[in-house]
Amino acid sequence: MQRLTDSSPCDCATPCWRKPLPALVTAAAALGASFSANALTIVPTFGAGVGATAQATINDVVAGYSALFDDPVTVTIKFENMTGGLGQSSTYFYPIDYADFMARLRADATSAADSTAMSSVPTGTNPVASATDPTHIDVTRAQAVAVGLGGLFTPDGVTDWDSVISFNFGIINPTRTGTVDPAKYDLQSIAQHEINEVLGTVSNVPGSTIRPIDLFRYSAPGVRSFAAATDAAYLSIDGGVTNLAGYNHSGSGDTGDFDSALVRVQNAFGTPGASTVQLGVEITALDVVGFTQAVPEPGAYLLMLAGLGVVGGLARRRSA
Amino acid sequence: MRVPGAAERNTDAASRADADRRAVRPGRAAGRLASHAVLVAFSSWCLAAGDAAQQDQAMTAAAPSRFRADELGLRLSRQNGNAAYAPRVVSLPGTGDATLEADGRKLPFRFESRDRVALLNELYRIRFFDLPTQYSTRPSARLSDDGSVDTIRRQLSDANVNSVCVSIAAFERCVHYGSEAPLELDRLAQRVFAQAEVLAGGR
Repeated sequence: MQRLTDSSPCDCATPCWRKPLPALVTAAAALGASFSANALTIVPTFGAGVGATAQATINDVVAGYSALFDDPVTVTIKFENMTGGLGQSSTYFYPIDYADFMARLRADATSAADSTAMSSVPTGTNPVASATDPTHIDVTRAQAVAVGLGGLFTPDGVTDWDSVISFNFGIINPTRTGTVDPAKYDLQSIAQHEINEVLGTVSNVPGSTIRPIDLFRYSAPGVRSFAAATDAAYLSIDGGVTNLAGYNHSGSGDTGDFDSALVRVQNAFGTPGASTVQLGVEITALDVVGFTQAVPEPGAYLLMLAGLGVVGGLARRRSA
Repeated sequence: MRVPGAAERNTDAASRADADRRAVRPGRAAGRLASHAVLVAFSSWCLAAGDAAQQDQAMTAAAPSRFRADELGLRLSRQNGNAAYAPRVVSLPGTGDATLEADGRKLPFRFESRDRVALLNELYRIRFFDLPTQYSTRPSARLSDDGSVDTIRRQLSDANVNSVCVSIAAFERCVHYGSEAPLELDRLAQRVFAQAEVLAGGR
């Protein structure tokens, strides 16, 4: 369970990936596919109004998730156009027995982040005191399957999908290639934001049943927050000691999204003109709520090193 | 994505808590995953959803039936989930000094007691106080191959969220909705915004 994109939670204001060209993302995806046969698979369906350029960007984003996660999960998503807002998603959530899910989540913990996160969650009872239904936890199908749960209703991916993601393409730059309108929003960032939520980073605050991400929502060290939209909460996987990202409590926008302190993919509010590709904290979030980061196999490392050697050799020959 | 007043937060939270406490009896299907546990959980949740709706309706009684006209206020907002557009807010306070906030400006206009009461009557007509307080989550029924119907939950994230809040003295009730709107309420809200623009622009 190593990070492929960075080595620490990436909260830098400067994007950690600077403009990864689609080809680079595709290459990463291909490399990821070589890492494991169990890659998370997102099957996209495109509705009318999603142009070829946008489809290519979404396909690159989708491939990036297969490179990043090792879970044998297939998620169906329909992408479509809408005329209001910026981006939104509609996703199925399943009420699962809390104890059963948590036992599986613990058994699925393999990364350092997982260990830290699980040690902050007591075994047995639901630690979120304000959850009015502590015996259940709401999870996406992808999360459930990722930790080994089965028997869930599975949309056919033709007439019904795990999620429907809608974009307001009227105010979106569909690609980072060529001229980018600084007044418009970046499709890659918005697609990542929505897919993160579709997979399982969306909070249920304020609600009655927690979602896995709500186990890591704090208002102070040792104090979990599952309260109202105005609560100044933050994401932490070590019991509230380290603040990985502040949650939005501005009074508008989703309370499960991040605040605007830094430019991040999971912020509640988009930043026009910004090519935001900061997946560090978002990937940590997905990791601790059930997904397994891909671990390159030795052969893949050798292949990658060989590739780097070829690139280095070419550069050396060119400079000579 | 919502701006509930303190009173509404308290009463709604208590209401939901009550409903869930009464309705959800753990589908503790002794663990070993699979369809049994999941189906039991589905059933429990369906019961919870039904009771929550009843509990929501019970809140109607909380609205005062007699009060001073200047204790009646309304607030409507239309906000996109992302900052693509600034929020637009119409405030119709009991003083009659109404405002329209749009495009970074706050435009004053008058909205008298009789107009606010007329609006309250329109809200009563569409059963505003019986509506759920939020529309971001809804049940979704699915027909399985074996002829059974599974009901699961559908969550709408990052959707436009519009709010209509009515306050009567200390009582406050808000309904928040997005693209899956209660149509009559949304039509009414759009009409109020249009009216506010005319009134604020005609000064």
